Amino acid sequence: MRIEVKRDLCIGASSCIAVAPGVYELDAEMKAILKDPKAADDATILESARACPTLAIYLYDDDGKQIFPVPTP
Amino acid sequence: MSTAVTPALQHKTARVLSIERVTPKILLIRFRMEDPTELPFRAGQFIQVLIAPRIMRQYSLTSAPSEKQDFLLCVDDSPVGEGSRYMDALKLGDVMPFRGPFGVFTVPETETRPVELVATGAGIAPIRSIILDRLPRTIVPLRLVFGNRSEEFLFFHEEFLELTQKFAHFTYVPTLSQPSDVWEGFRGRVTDILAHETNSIGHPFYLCGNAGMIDDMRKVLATKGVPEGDVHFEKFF
Repeated sequence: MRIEVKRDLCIGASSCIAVAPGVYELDAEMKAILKDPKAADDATILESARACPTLAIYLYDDDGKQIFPVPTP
Repeated sequence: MSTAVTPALQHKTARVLSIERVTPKILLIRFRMEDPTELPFRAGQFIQVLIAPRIMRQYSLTSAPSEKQDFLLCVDDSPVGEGSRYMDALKLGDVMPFRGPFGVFTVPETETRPVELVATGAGIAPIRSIILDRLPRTIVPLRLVFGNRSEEFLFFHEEFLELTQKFAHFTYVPTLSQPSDVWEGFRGRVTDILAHETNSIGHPFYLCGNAGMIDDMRKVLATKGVPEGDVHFEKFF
């Protein structure tokens, strides 16, 4: 799974860090960045993305297909 | 290259108009916009209060978007953290810096299915905004299940009861986990009410409250067969 934090959407609410503290950290601009994408299992990473109040975390499977937020048809 | 800042990210200020303690845990603080003079937002969104350099706290807007110049915050000051200390110290006339509105915990205008709202404690904040916004504008049924510990911790109760009289499409289900002997409403947690229902499958759910409640509700709804895409939540950490 590939994780992408959309900087323009991130407001530094830190919900992702609360769910997966090893995966994310805040940078100097109070935006979430990846610390260690392997620090949590896929289910926890999906939870971290779902917890983001601005939906700033995008997840892609190994084929590059977006799996979260679920693309609208 | 443009250096324009997204409106939501621009710093704003509002002045404290009133402070009311409604339960041992909950403060209702009303603000009047200063700069700019109005705050357009969608019901269910939140603002980010600038407590100190590099310290921001999120608070859901509790009032209806139609108020524009004023807004209400519902603050649980029982967890004594930096956000609670900041809010407790606010006095009438103080100016609060913030940015926003932000958030996607909103009911789409196109939603025509009966909407299920579930809140505990201060989680009622965005839910109340959604209720006040939607009830006068749509006849789509709206049900609120509101959980608190006891009568002492119940708030907005009279207002919601009045709304049931005014709007036939609004159903209000207060439940208390540790009520007194005279409580005539539901007893138990919000999950206890929804676990035994089958008629709400197919409805969108909007949950707001502490992480434990959200996690428990999501399990209950998954067990009942409610699709994950119909479960929207705002979790307090």
